[in-house]
Amino acid sequence: MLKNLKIIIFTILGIFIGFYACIFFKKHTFLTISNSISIEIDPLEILSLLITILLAIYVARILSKQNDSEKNEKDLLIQYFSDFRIQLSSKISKILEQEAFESIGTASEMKIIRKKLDSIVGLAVQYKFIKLNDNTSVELQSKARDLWELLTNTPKKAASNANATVKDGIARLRLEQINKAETTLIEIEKLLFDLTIKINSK
Amino acid sequence: MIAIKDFSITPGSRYKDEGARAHSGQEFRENFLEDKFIEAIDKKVKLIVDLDGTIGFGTSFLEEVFGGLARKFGKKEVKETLDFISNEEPYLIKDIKEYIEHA
Repeated sequence: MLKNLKIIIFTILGIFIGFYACIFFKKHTFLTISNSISIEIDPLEILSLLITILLAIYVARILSKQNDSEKNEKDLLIQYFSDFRIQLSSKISKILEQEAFESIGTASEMKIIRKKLDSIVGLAVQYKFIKLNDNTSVELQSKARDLWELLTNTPKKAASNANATVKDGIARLRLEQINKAETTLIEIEKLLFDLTIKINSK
Repeated sequence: MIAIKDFSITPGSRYKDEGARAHSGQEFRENFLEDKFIEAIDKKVKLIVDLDGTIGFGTSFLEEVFGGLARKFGKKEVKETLDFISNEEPYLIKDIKEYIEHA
């Protein structure tokens, strides 16, 4: 958007400079602008050529450089999200597989996951790829919170001396929590995909 | 000011009975927080809780500490007396405020 605006501004500026330069030449110099074809030097053509060269230099050197820089930032950010998705999936699968709920290790892993997500979303906002409080990013952070709650507030396994009904009840609750955590993980992956597409379209 | 890391850098689960070295929320609330909380109320000053410096919290720990405090002393008193510092995980403050609200 900003890039297109700059091109438009510079084009309009070029036309104005050309127009007023032409008037200036006519009024204050001995050079004339002929209507017939001749071999005399046409100041308008020289001016137009100069402006074209300047514009070409501007587009090639400044705009291309800016474009490359923006593309690199975008690629890097998308790579961060992609790495995060892989890491999240691997860490959560491990926790679910080991049923390591409410352990210190899980709390620590979840701290890293939430902090990392917060940091990447912060970068996306800082570099203006998404708006502050963007719907997808807010939902993503909320789902990460849900996952943290599901994994760090799960019922402990029943004690060996507990009766069968208690054991069965706790086992069912744990299964329900595992199922919810897996569903939340799928939702997070979908939101990460949505956010990546959103950033890529910028 | 009270820093949870001074209690434990590995805060554990909800209740004391979940192991002798559980570093539970109940233990932190009863043995560390409540005295300072009452003192802050008496002196009519804010008690700042520093959440930084631990390896991470479980939901049950935070709910037991702050939700438990709100159940014991009332939501209004807790909301008016406690303030939080969390540079590492700023979003935790919002989570804790919800636990107090829903206690």
